[in-house]
Amino acid sequence: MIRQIIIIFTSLLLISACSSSDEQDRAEHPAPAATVELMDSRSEGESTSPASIKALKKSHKNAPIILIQNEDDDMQRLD
Amino acid sequence: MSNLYSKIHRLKAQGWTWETFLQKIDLIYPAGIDPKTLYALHRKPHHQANNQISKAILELHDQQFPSPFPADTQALLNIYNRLLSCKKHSGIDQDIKDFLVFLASDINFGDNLRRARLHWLKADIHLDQLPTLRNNGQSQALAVQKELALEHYQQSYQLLEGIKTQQQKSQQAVTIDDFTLYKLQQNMLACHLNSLHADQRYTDQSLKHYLNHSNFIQSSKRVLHTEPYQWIIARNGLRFSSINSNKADCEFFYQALIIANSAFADFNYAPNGAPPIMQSTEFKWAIQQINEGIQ
Repeated sequence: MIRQIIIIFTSLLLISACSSSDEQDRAEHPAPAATVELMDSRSEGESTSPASIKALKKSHKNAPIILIQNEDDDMQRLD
Repeated sequence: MSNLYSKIHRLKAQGWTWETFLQKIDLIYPAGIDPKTLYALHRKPHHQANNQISKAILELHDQQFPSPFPADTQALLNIYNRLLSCKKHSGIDQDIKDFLVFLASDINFGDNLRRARLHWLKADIHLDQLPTLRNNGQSQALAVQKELALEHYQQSYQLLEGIKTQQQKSQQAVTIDDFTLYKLQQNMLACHLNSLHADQRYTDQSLKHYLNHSNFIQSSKRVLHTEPYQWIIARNGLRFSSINSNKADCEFFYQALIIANSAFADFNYAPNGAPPIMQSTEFKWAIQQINEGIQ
């Protein structure tokens, strides 16, 4: 009887430890939900020929404007 | 971000003494500016000024070197720049979209000088979208914004070149100088460069094609001859000479960078508004060549 209680108690301790470690892991590596949402639905490697650009311009006429977040060494515009 | 270092050098190059310089600032900003701050801004491209001092120097610069463009177009550009710098503005996306609607209509009115500046502003708005679209992997929208930016910069360039030629023919005072046209060329190159991730910039054919078919390097050298303190121009010249694997041009622009300010002799030097060239992959080839030349 005592042996069974010890086994159940140890199992509960193990389950609790695993669950806490998983939570910590998730907190350290959050899913990049925002990035996924913002990705273009079309494939990255799809080519954009000059002929199709006119058509694309029309379809993107009302595309949302996204705020600027310059990274690395981009060229600053001159005015 | 305004390049205060170059603006202060341009003002000083008129032959002003420091006393005159400080008096002129006093007229705009009665609280005055500590001479040590002004000297530091003149000596160090990494030195930052507070808002009031920046504003006073920019105002003085605009008084001494007035823009050739109509005041209403300059006001629109200022509104757009202030809008961008206001990160807490909640309706910024919609305001920029509305701004574009207004510009699309307004661009058809007025003389060529006004229209050129509005094309320039519209191109700026499209150019400003490129880094985010690139980082988000929105390749189709990126291609469209890049093309629109290039189209409007090109239209602005053609209109301004036409005005310059006309002024030269009729022997009027030429208001469109080389530096104004250089700025447009630089922005067109920025459309190509900023739409690429850093690791693609050495190999992208459209960037190399534009570089080899434009006179960007020659224009950079011409502007540096007149204004040797323009470290941004020297830095960009070095960047594109490196991408183009041109050793002679790399050496020229590295020297120009050191002439602009000796602090650039250190590849790890970080000026205000740009990372150290050591940290930027586009300068890798140039750094190798310069180091080999030194040994």
